[in-house]
Amino acid sequence: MKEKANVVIVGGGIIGSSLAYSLARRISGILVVEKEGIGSQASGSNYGMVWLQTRLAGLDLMMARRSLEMYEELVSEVFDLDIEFEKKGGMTVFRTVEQKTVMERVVQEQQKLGIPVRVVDALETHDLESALAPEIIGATYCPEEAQLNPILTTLAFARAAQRHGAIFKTGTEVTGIRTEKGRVTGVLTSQGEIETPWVVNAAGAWARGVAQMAFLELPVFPQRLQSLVTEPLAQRLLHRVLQGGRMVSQEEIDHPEKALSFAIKLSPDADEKSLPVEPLEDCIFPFLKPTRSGNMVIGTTSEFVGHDKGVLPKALSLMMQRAVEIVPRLKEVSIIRTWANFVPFTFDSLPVLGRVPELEGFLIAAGHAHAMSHAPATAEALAELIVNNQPSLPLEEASPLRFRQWHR
Amino acid sequence: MRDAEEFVCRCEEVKRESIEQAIKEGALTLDAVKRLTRAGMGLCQGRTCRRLVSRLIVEVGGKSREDLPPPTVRPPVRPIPVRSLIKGEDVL
Repeated sequence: MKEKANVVIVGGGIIGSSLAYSLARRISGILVVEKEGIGSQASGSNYGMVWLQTRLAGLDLMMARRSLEMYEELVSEVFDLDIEFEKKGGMTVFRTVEQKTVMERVVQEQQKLGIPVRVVDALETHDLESALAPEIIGATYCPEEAQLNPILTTLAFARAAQRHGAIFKTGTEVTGIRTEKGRVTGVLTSQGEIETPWVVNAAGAWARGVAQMAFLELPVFPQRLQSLVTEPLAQRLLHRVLQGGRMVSQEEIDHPEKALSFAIKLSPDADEKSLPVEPLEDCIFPFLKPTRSGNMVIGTTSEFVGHDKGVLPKALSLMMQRAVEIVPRLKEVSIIRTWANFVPFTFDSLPVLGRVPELEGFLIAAGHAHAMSHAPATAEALAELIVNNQPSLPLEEASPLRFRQWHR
Repeated sequence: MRDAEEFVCRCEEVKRESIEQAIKEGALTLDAVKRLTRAGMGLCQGRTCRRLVSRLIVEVGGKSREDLPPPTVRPPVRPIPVRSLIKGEDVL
């Protein structure tokens, strides 16, 4: 006998797990199909940040703010795991007056959007984090930014969903989407067929392949981030996440609005060949996250190399070089683990959320470059869309329809 | 005699009872146990506890040894000093 579900979610990462929770609270018959385990890919190995400083005006910022509020509620009322949620703020440090001038203008723009961020002087910067290198002359500081443990957060969502009756089929790979007269009727998996009127593609950096099973082209590409973690530092940092050493370009000095986001922005009509291929030296974005356990997570590269999970010694060297310029004390410790993962990349750095006109019952919930910042709000809005067609967030900005040339 | 309080992962100080609990909750691979308990995430990266955790998955989780996928082993094999990666620094 064929299995049946009201909604099948493809992908057991943070997006699939949080959506399963939001849906299972409202309706029954929620089934998540995951090819490996819960949080096996990016959701189990990303930086676990809820960013505000790197958000774009509009839906992006709206979702991050709502998610931040929702995490506090989830932590106190829903989750049965300690997800190590800490709102200790994030800093982007700088070393030159030129960088400072640009960041001051960026912060002005961000303040207009209501982002609680400010530029702090050298004295306050070193007061906020005493381990910083003396050459650092200031920082932008957003005290509302939060960090969490991404693995435990994904698991906590999955467990909350299971308590509401959702079923997670791990080790089960989707191999096909069954359709009839322009609407979804089921999914084929490595463990058999499931009959369902709704399929949600929450496959992260693998979402394009899942869409292709339904003969749809979805321009979501894997972006490789290389990372490493050190042994615990004898003297812990203050849990503030640090970014820095970023080169401020002449273009950003002339047009500070371009410095508003770290995101790469291309036209939605761009194609695969427009993905930037740059020397490794230009793909390093220093990032340091002191974790609760005292280990320092350090990143990152941003590269387009398909699904190649390699870690390059040269990348480790470049990342550490930049990291010790920010926190010199890191020279005294050892690296215990390195890894690479894939976050989904879209041309305008916004996720892809919503229905596709070509196929009734097929919903996309993918392309989150900052899934931890967006998951709770994404999940609520999409659950509302499925259940009563009234999402409480204006999802149009993230609509799949914006990729005109990809829809033939 | 093994007791629930003994440390299976010495680096991260994870006790046998926590690992058994994770297995009972469905963590049936070394990676799944690691994600839930941190066993194998410390300085030795599981070189010490890998076999013990595998045995618990077999004994408590009822999984056959042949079906147990090998853990994801990520470089470096041994901790490497940050100094050795930085130009112009002497390795001690």
